[in-house]
Amino acid sequence: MKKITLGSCLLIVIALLVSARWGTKADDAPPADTLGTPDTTLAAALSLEEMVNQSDVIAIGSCSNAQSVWVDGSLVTVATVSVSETLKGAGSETLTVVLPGGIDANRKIPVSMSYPGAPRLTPGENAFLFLTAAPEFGNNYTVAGFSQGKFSIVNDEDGEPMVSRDLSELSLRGNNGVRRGPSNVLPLSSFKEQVKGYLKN
Amino acid sequence: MNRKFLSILLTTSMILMSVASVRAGKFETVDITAGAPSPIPGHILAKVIQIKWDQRAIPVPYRINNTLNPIPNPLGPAFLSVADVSAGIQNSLNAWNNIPSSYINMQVVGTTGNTGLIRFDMINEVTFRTATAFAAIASSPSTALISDTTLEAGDDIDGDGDSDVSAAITVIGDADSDGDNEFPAGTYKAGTILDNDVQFNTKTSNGFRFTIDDAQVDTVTRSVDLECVAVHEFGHSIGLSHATDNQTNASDGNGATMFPLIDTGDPVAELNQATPDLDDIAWAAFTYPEGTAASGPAALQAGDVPFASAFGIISGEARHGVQNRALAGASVYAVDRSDNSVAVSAYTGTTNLSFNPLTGQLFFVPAVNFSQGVENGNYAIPVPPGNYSVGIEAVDGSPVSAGQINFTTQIGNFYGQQNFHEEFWNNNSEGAIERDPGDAKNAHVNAGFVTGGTNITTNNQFTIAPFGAATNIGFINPPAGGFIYAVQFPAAEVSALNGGNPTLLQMGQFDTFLLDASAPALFAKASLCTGVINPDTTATIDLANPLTSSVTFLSQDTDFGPFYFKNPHDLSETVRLGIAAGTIQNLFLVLQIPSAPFPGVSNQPPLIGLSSVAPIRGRSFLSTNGGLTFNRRNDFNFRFSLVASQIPPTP
Repeated sequence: MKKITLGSCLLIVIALLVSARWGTKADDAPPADTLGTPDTTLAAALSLEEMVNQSDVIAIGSCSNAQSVWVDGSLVTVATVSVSETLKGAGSETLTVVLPGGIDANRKIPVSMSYPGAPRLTPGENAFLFLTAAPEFGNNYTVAGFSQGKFSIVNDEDGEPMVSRDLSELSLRGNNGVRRGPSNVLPLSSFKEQVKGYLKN
Repeated sequence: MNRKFLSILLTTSMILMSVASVRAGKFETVDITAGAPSPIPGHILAKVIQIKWDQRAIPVPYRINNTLNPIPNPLGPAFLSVADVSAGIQNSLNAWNNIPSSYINMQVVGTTGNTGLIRFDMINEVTFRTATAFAAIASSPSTALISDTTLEAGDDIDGDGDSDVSAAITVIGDADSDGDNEFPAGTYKAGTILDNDVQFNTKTSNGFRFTIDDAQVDTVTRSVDLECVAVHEFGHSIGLSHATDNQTNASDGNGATMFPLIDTGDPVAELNQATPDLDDIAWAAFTYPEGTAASGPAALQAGDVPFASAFGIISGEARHGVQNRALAGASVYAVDRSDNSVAVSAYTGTTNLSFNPLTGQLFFVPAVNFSQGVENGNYAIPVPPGNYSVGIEAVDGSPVSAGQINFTTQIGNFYGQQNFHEEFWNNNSEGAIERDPGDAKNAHVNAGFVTGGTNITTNNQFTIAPFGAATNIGFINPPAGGFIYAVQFPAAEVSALNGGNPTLLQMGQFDTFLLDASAPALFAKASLCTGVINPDTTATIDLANPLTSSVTFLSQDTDFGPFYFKNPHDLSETVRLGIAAGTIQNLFLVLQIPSAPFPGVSNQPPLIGLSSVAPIRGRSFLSTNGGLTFNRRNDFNFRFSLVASQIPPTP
């Protein structure tokens, strides 16, 4: 009944999903004939509402730096994010996010360490981030739900910033739901409003 | 992926198998050997390549961590021993070892006593220790070379102070008996895996109970069969990326082992993961092709089947029809026309990142320098001999996101390319504006040959999608009359498409889900109908005279299933005339669930995606009495969309 990510993905407890689907309090519960589900078809682990609730920080920003470092024999990438807007948590101009895997070319034998399905942040990349505190990495953060808490922001052909992943939307331009292209991208403004809606609850 | 084929036409040319470079189905790193200048000053281009084991590192030796014995069970008393695990892990390795056309070979050779976490230590470790922050079921990180490298005797690869390279050996092994592996001295290509570890999460907070007996597989979501998870992880260990195939055909809802999600509440689906699917087999064989060397692991041995005898290749280039340039990171897939089964998929594009050699940072190549970030949209799909339809879909989060696959899919996403509707290759009719995107031509494949020229251009279409993000899926527990879902598309809205100019109505899309991964997303019927909205807000829909329909419609799991309209030109003309005459006030996309009982442990029908995101447009209707009455839903928008196109030029 519940799909969870293998290997790379998924992280987070399946029970959360189950409880989210079946055990919410009455005033939040979906109709009895539907399941409160993921907007993340990805599976399931974390719905957007769950991600909002479980994140310590929700921020929009641009990755300005991503440096790989060795920690106990493993490569991790320490990404610096220049924050343009904070929706949850203490506001800060920059955030440091620690991601699994990295690359080290400044050694005799250059290597990379790669985790399938792990989130990546690349300098110049704009992202909508759901972050959890990572005490093991100082006062820094990791992406919530492994890769689930990172949403890329890319511009569409008309220059409008869109959040990519299955967030389908489609309130679209105009008011009748008509747009050119597919329905698997969401205007950043709409996604932000949806997140804010969960924050009010 | 839809398996609808409207015509058969032999269109392919055969050439000798000579695919030098393919870029799909692969887990990736970068190659900085060439050092070509990047458009970013001071940077070089880093070519995106697959990671894999060198033949000198085969058989790949694995050691089981023995510091947790028995293996922790977060749900109760521990019951699994390290000896049990060793046997189970070898079974999982054998799932890949036993592929006749692949020379990959991995073996459990002993144990290791690491009391810490996995690390780059030249020991291929299988462990049940994971970091506090690690919350996945399992993971398989690999450390690989990022440039062509000559390893010299005495080199300390992992920096722990002892030698990891020996001139006295020709195959990987613990040459100095210090517990880690030594590589034979020599030159190795970028992408060569040096170290791979597989970790399984057993933490009380968020871990899983691992079992190894099929009889122990149950519906407890935090309990999972070790071997089925391990087969997936060792797929990454040999350099395979996640796959997008999560459904085989109308009778089998199971997909590829390398699909990134596992349904731990569905015993059938869970156990199915332990057996590599054709997609997994094809990519293992393509990566380690048997019979391609006169000696060593790739040389034929008893029981082997040469790759060239078992597989051929479908190749081509994908282009983004709106951007009018090469397409990176799209999923292309071959459907076996003999049984409409999804056979094998791949990802498009030869790509680069920008690398700062001073800091070791990787960047996307700036969008203004797109052609240096995406060299081409080439793809290759290894398939057994046969006849295939070739489809393409965006890696857009349904059912998996670009970030879950590899660098190439992420690069395509960075350039805004994961945003087109699914369609089929239709040979000479390919283009951004097509008459019938569901028209699938035949790509015939012979063993040992490449069927080239299957070039696909994604479509430039209009979409009426009157719904927001998915917030729910439904509906469950249908009454005796079942459920029939319908979404209204007013005539005025249809007429206004393309600025009021003529359009081709090409397909509907239904966002559909399953509760059990082993069940197919099979509906009783999909149709495009006409109808009216009554004063009491109910809808009357002419189900008896659909404009077009498909009985036993196979949709998709956790994705939009395309319902390609038959003869879009004539259909569109009928609609245009009907609207003009006032006989068509609304179109309705209609989807009907099948009759009970339903496949899968949940005994629920296939579901649809629902959105409670405002505004609720009042265009979604549900019938529970066989279509006699359609009642408006004021709580959800059903996630059905109508797709149209400009009129293409007459061929």
